[in-house]
Amino acid sequence: MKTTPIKRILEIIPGLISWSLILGGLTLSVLDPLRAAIAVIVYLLFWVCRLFYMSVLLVLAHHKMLSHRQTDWLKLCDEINSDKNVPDIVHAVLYAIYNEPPEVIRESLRSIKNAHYPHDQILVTLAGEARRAGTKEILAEIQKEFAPFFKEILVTLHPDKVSGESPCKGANATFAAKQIAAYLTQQRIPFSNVLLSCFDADTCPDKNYFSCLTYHFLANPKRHRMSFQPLPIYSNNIYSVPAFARIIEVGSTFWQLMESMRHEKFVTFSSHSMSFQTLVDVDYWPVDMVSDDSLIFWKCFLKFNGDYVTQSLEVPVYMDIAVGRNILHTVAVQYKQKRRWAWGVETFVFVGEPFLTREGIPFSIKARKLFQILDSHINWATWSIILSFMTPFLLMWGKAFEGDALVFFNLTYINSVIFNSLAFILILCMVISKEFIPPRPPQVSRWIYVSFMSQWLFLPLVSAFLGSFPALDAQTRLMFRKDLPFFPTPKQRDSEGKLSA
Amino acid sequence: MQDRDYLTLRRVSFWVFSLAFLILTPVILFYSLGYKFDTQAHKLQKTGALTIKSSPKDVEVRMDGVRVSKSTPCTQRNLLPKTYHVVLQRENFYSYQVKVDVRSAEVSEIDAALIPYVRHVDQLLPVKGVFKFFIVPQMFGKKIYAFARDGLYEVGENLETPQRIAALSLDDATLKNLSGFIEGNTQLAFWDPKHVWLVQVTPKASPDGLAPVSVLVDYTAIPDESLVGVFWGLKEKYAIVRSTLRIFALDVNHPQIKFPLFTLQSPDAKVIYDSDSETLYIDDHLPGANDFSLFRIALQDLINENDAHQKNP
Repeated sequence: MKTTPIKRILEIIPGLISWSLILGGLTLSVLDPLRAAIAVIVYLLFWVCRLFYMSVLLVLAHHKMLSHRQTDWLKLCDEINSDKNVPDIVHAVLYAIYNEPPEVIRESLRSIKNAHYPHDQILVTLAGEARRAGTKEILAEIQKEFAPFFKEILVTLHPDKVSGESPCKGANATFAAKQIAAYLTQQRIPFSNVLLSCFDADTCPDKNYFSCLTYHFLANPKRHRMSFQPLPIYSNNIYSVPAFARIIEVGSTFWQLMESMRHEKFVTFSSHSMSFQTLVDVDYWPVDMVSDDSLIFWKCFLKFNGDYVTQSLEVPVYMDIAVGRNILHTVAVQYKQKRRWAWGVETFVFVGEPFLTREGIPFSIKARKLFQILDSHINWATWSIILSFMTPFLLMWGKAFEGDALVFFNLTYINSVIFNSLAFILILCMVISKEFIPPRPPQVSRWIYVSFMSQWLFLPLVSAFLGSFPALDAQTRLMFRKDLPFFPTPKQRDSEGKLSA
Repeated sequence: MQDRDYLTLRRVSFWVFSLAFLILTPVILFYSLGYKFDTQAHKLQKTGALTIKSSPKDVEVRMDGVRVSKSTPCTQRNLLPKTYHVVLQRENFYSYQVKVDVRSAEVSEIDAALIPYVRHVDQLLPVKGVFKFFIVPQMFGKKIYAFARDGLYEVGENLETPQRIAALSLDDATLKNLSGFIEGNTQLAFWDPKHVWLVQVTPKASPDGLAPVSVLVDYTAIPDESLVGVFWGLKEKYAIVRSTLRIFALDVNHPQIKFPLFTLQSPDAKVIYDSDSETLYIDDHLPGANDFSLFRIALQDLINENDAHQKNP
């Protein structure tokens, strides 16, 4: 696709800022360690205050989630005063499938089967890719197995090499959604009564997911101007993955918890739900971009001139932690997955170009949104590199060449005070993360809990290598217009349907 | 709690931490740069810091009479720039006192080694009448040779397991006057201003297992000359002996075989013989000069030179 100058500039900005911060910081550390030390002190203090603020958000979100754990959402649905009722609502659950083992899909469907919601109002779509051999047969078998439990199970096969499309989940999901639209039309089910949930193949919704979703849909008159985002908890295979993989995914869960308290910034991520009518109105997901989960939100935001929000759901969905064949492969898998997530920086371009060229949204909102996107991606790419590497480098360099300078002496002291104070946040994370650990399988030793607690010690290193570096990689690729290679996250089950390490 | 309650708490937290950042940042920056408000001078002063290390650790630190730390190592920050009287104290150690200048925006350091009181002796050598001892470094540790009334003893550095290696028929005055000792691979030598003795440690000839002691040099009949030093030379076949103004080589197995090596100009000359390179280093007046000069005589080089000349005349 032809690129415009504005688009090209927007592609360069995030990577340029991130690299400028890192390289500029290094250069300043060498040329003027004193000024660099002052800048680092300000940066450290900023992050301490920000992390404490975020830990407050984490506690609030956690409290909110816990306080709704026993909520009878279906009862609430019956009690609210709404123009629609539960029997009116149809849930269309779309599973985008590529090469996931059949047992992964079966487990996901079993979780829907166990949902506290009328199953005859749940329409499941298994959206496979025609380019994967054997997909049709596998999905047909699963369809036959689970069809009696739902309203209907549709199987779609997204054709390969469609013009204008990239190999991405959005293209598959859009194709499947159009098949769903045809089915709903045939069944005379109004789109405005349908809630579409777009899930990854390993997504197991909580048993109260559909009732909670229905409640929020019924309760909110602006139901077609919002997406619904559950809390993703990566716990399906938590007992069989390395500690560093666990900690990264728990961090992702925490991040979503914190973001859920910041409604004005909250966008859809991974598995999410929305009104099918809205989806049709905005012409479905982008078919040529990787970050379909967040871009669908922005598509809606732009379509409705800023009148679109994301509503956080109080119930989670359970997903797999990305894992490889062995430790090294798991590192590679995690890196690629995080890089794909960080490719969400393309929203800066996706949103920035229409913001700059079109009217309809107040300037203050546009500026704020652009700043929020840029701020989150740049911090993602830089903060742990600066804290974990640049600060120690500056301390060593400053002590070597400005040995007597008091500021370096005090910076060491301040650094240690700050890291000790962050230990409080670490303990908080350990305590809250206990909520997301499912019951221990009998074959797993109790010693694993020692690993669950001690894994947080890896946080500084993991944050840099599996947090900032992939983000920096993604932004650099965007800068130089190097496409992200297609990477479906591997999911694993053994032949008995058990989770494999 | 309702959603609005969460929102309120969130807003309050946001403003609290924003204010904390705005207030803490300049305070901590000023602190880092070393600024402190001097209440006496009523102005901002740039302070310094002082790190105090000591051996042993856990020493009490006092600055200008005020106890500032119960243990070391410690760091004192926010010190106004001036000279401080620092005292390090610990029980059973002499108190260490020093004046240190603390300068603005700099870190000064004290690294002190405290000296303990000596209240009792560690170990006694169970040999009576020791007049002289010499410590000889070994590859691992040290060896002590003690000259006692009843003989020469070899002892470990912990003064344990003394071993009598030779009987000495020397009077107390001679033992007191012993001035030097060298250890060789198979022999020992010791001297006083008038004699050089040789102890053949191996092979042991006498039935009692003690090494024989012989007189290598006897200068009692030469009143003007005193023996100053002895070195092993030419693979311990010779003793290189320095007296007041002479240096000569003495065959240890046949002491009557003696060769003059050099005549010194000054009795204050310094002589060292390096056994590894068979070289004499001499710090002496050159003939006709008043100043001391350092020069060398490389015996091995002379041997090699003469050897080469003989083969190729």
